[in-house]
Amino acid sequence: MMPAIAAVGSNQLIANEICLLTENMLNSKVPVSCFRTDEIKTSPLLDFYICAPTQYEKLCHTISPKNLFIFELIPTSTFFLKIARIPAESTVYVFNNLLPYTQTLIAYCHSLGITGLHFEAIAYESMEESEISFHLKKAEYIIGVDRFVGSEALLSPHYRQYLRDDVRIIAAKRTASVRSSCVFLHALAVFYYTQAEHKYNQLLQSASLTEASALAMKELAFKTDNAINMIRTASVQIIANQIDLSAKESTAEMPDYAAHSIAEEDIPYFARIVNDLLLTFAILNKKLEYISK
Amino acid sequence: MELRQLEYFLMVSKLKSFTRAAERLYISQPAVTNAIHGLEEELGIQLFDRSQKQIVLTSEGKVFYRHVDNVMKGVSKTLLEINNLKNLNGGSLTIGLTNFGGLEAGTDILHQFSKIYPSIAVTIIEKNLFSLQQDLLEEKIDAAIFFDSANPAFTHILLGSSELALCCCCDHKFRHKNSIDWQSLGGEKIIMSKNSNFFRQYIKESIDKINPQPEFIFGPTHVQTIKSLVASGAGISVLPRKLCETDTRLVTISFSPQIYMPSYMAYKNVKTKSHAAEAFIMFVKKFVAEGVDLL
Repeated sequence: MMPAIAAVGSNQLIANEICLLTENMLNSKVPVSCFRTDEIKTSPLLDFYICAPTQYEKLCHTISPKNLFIFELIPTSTFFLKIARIPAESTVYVFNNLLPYTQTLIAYCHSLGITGLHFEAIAYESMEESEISFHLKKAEYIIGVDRFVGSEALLSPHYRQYLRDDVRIIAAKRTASVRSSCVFLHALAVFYYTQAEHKYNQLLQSASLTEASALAMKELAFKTDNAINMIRTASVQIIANQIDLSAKESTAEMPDYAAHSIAEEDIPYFARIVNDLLLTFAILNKKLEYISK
Repeated sequence: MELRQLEYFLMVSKLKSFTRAAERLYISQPAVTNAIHGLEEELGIQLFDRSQKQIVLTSEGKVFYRHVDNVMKGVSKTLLEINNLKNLNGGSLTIGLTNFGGLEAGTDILHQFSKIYPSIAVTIIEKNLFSLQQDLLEEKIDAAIFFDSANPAFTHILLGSSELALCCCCDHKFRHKNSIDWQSLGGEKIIMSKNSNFFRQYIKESIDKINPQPEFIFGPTHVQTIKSLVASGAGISVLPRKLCETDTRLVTISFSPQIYMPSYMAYKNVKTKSHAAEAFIMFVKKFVAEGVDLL
């Protein structure tokens, strides 16, 4: 029942970022592989591919849209809370490789009521070096996505030389938006549900009243229970990620049937439990489908 | 973090009061206070200024409120439902039936559903069609079983058809007939429920052609009363065959040609339903598609 999931990025850094986000959402219950976009053509076919919006166009020619998912990456609450603590009227520099995302970050700040600050964009891939250094030398507050304000860019020796000693850098940890996370989670839930339903029908059709069949049905109940629990926890984690907190894992109480002994005449008992769980799963899928639209 | 903490935070922010938020959330005030304290500790910030008479959001609290409000908009209720969706061992369901609605398919479904989900408390209410449709619209009931399928506000699942038959007392002149045509009812006294407008409407075309027109009498509400009046010889009636063929006081005669009335399970087209209602709807769909033996 384990799905094969890949995180895809234009470079390894982004692929790793998406990979970590996915693993975090699924509470590390499902392994996620990392690929660069240019590696995808030669990689084996997997069940799910997750990428940033910028990579979708390139990937949708190679990967079926039903297997391809976008994570829209947005900063967490903590980032904005730190910006809110900057004294009013201060000038805040927004550091990024390209200009559009600096505007996105500024717009996010404004929409949250952070309006008492003056924002200045520094897009280092589209500005002259002299202009960048001019701004950096004055900057008391710099904000930006963690990988751009970290050692890979802003804190690299190249730009570090321009920074003031008392500069305060606020790095945005990004997470996948609720909507884009829910679209993926719904597809994942459907994957688990379909697998479980298929196995259930297979076991019913085999109709051999053996202890092994009863055991297989009991195992299916466990796996379905676990999948439901993982999806439920992930649905809370999606929200917790926005706030940079951890979701409390749903307490997976030991189900009543766990202690039930295995005997061939128990097949109907376990079949009823699986049937019940499949119905619960179907309801869960419907709710996820509703919020992912 | 738990989703409920954010839910409480949003409510307290909106109402500017822990007490009123607790009342609105149907929980105790300490539960709200503790949840907010927990959130503040996890975030490492103070969300509310409690020094004033009325609590107010701190400047950081305001930013956090707007962010959480954006994040939770349109998804909070459903995510809470998903979070609470452990299994179907619980919940309640209210099903409406018309006077004639509790027939074969409907009762079989309710019986089988209760066997499979013994922990879901099923309540049945019996009303006329109009009242049931009103109750469905106002979401006072989860689903109803009746004969109409015209209202676009509802989804209808066809459950089956019931044969309508003429019933009369054991010494009525029709008693030896194997079948009867509508024309033979000319001048007869027909006992029919006043509340069953739809039922009457369904056979109106056939009745309108009868000459001389039959007379509708009494208009009782309950099927038992109709049957007792018929058994006493006060008149005849048209009822679903299953409702009267086992009554030894009555003779049941098919119409020629036979007539059947479809029955439907109806539920309101709303995006979110209780777990129990979702389970029931899925159960009915499966029941109709696969039959009871496969459930």
